[in-house]
Amino acid sequence: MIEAAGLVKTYGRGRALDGLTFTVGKGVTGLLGPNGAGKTTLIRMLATVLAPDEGELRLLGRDPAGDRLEIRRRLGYLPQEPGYQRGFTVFEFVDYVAILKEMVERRARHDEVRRVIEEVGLTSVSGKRIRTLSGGMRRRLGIAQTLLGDPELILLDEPTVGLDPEQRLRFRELISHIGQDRAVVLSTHQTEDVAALCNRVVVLKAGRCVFEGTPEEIRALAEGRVWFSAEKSGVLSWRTGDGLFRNIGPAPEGARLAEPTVEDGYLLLLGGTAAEAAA
Amino acid sequence: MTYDHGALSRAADSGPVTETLTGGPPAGGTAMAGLSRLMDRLPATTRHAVPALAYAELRLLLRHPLTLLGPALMTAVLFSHTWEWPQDSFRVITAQMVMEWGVPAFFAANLIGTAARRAGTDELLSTTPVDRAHRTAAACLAALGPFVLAGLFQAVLLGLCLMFQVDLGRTPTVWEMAAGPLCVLGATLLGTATARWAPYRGVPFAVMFLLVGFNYVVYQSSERFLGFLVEFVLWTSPMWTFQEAPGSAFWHAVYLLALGLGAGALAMLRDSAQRGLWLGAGAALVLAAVLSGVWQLP
Repeated sequence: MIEAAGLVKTYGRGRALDGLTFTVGKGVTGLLGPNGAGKTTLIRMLATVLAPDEGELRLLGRDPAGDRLEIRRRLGYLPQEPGYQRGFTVFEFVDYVAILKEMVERRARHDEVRRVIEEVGLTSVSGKRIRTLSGGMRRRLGIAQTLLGDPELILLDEPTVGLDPEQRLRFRELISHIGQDRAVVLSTHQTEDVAALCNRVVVLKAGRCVFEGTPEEIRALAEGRVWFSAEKSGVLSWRTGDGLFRNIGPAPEGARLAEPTVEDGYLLLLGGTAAEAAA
Repeated sequence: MTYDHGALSRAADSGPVTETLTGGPPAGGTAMAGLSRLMDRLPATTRHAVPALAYAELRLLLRHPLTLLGPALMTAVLFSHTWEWPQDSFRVITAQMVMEWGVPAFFAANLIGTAARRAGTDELLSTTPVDRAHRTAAACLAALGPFVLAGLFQAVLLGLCLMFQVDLGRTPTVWEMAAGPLCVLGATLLGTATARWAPYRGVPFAVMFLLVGFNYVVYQSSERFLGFLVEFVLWTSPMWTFQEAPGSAFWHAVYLLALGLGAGALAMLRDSAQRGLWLGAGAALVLAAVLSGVWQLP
């Protein structure tokens, strides 16, 4: 679905992407990385909003420089902060985007709009103005418009920001459902979302890909490197609720090892130590 | 490189073309032929999306509070008017609409044109196959809605005046009655053009200030037909004498139409892949505005 090789994107003196190489297939792929790692730049590049300065990118088997229109016909995109025009109802907004996706036959378009609204569970509010919706509902509305026309590739930039736990749960349910038969790329810094949803993870750091694999593989990077102790130790550590420190890093002899999580592996990657250890 | 909106639309427009030109020479620069030529260059599905999009834009435009303010203000004027003096009544049914309806129509079109940008929806919408150039085309087509509405309003108003035998001095010509709706059309198109070229806070106010200022200056001069708010009959001395204003109402209507469509061409020029076409159309309309502007004068 996505093949990227040596992608470079420069803003002024800074390099948002610095020779990024990765591939994405069907299923849900998580793009993990700290703020400034280049996630949003990459997602915008995949959405054909930005072009790389250098490198090769193929989306859905096509070159975005030449076949942008064809790619856009098979693409769904939810930006990080999608605004919604005042005065649109849920139905009207999705209908408007449907027209922009070339759905010109009114009855078929309205059927499609109703379908995607139902898919994200907003049917009961489809006649309501968007400004009256909660943050979670707005996110679902954003996802609804990405589903129009049953696209093969869906790009979601930080879709869980600002959602409460229940909304996040519903969001995961939704994404896992829509990711069954297409490629979904999910940019996030929420490792729980990656662990819960993704069958593949790409970790970005300073515009480079520092890890590409499954959530289990990233979790395994921290195997034997997370432990509890009464004293602060390790590369990263924090005091847990029971007063013990949870430490990440080389475990001292006799340390009480803990079950690592995707977040532990991710933190080790960002610290640079796990990558060296894995090598 | 950033895919700016213009580049995006140009690239999108130059994408797979499913229909080619139908052949034959360009049809002499008529607006419809130019539009037809432009439409034929677009991919079929994208091209077919424009009418549906225009309908969506029209709904947004017609229910915008500022669009509704125009007829509301006009109605208020009609009810508050005494209908006592023919000159005054003539002005109300021919020229009143220019300010009361035209100014809100300009701001309504501008606000709708900048709504996606202000709301932060632009990025989302910029990744759809139907790009901003087509959205602009749709917005320009939607400007016909307020124009038709204003025309109907004028027709009903004239009908009521005739029915109730209001003393207008004489029956206004169709060109005199058209001045208001044409200004509404031009204002709507100019609102869209301003939204496309300078979608920044304060710009529409500056544009409107210039328009009103220009109108005020020419209103004081002997070339008052160059303005938008034109009175076709005059209050003269001795008082209450009904006198025709010097100038041609027909060429004034052509002048307003050329200026209005010129604003539409300006809007289209912003993002269209066929910049040459719209530059040519704009130049032709400027020429038409200059010639009709001269010919309308006494």
